[in-house]
Amino acid sequence: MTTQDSNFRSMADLVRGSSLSRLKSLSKRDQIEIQEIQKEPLVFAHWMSFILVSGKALRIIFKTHFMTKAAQFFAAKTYGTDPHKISQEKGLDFAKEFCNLTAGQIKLDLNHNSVIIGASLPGMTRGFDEIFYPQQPGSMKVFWSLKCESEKFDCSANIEILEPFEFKKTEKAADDGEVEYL
Amino acid sequence: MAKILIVDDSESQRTQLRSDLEKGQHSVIEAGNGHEGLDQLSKNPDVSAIICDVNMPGMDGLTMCLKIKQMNSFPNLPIFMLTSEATAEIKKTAKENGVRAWITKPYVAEKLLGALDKVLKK
Repeated sequence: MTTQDSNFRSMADLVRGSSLSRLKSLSKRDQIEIQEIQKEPLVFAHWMSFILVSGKALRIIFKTHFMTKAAQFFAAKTYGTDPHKISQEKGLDFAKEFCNLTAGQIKLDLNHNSVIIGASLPGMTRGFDEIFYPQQPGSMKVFWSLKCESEKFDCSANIEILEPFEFKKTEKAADDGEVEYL
Repeated sequence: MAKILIVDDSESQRTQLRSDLEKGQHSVIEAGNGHEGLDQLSKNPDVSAIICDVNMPGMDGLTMCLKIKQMNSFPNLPIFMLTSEATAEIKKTAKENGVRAWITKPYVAEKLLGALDKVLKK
């Protein structure tokens, strides 16, 4: 296996793992599980939130595809209320914050490997706009579901390795919320 | 009980923070970006601490901190950055801009409230 193949595989694992851990912590739902999507649909769902993480070595577009009802379900415990009381606007904001936290986790793990990257602000658009994001030649696309009870967020990531790099998954879980005095 | 200003573009993050801070007997005011944060601070000079995100549309958190530092009106106002950013370089800039503490998202309520209490007692 080449370093680039290894990078693709480890980045796919990193993005999937980061999305799972961040959705669990943000939604306060520990029962969320990853489920495989067998075939990529033309459009995953009605909404799509996305974020770009990029640096000299790699570029990842992470996207979350979802229906309003799923966003309301996952956001409910965060807002401390029932899913039906969550407005569409709050649900969409929740999905953007989920992308932001996932990108943050990816950045942390890459920083630990001395791979410096930046992240954009998260964006939101209609799921149908997925057709305007064609896959770049030489890139890898992965997709999976984050499922809890009867709701799910479908996730996808487009990964480009621009410069092969050494990467080892951090053994120690990030100390969530640790306070560092400057 | 202290008045805390939350500056974050994410409503879900602000709501979660408000809920946790109010459980800790603090009162809360909110802003969605650095511009709104400065505006809130000028209207509420009795703010005891600020909890601020880094990446926000409009004015980012570090620029807001620098502006507060340049005002010279709030020399001892503790500012906590609550962000998914964590590079040494950005923390160095934050320190230069007057930031007191750095918390990586997602936060843990007990740790945040503990840190606030510690800083506010000084």
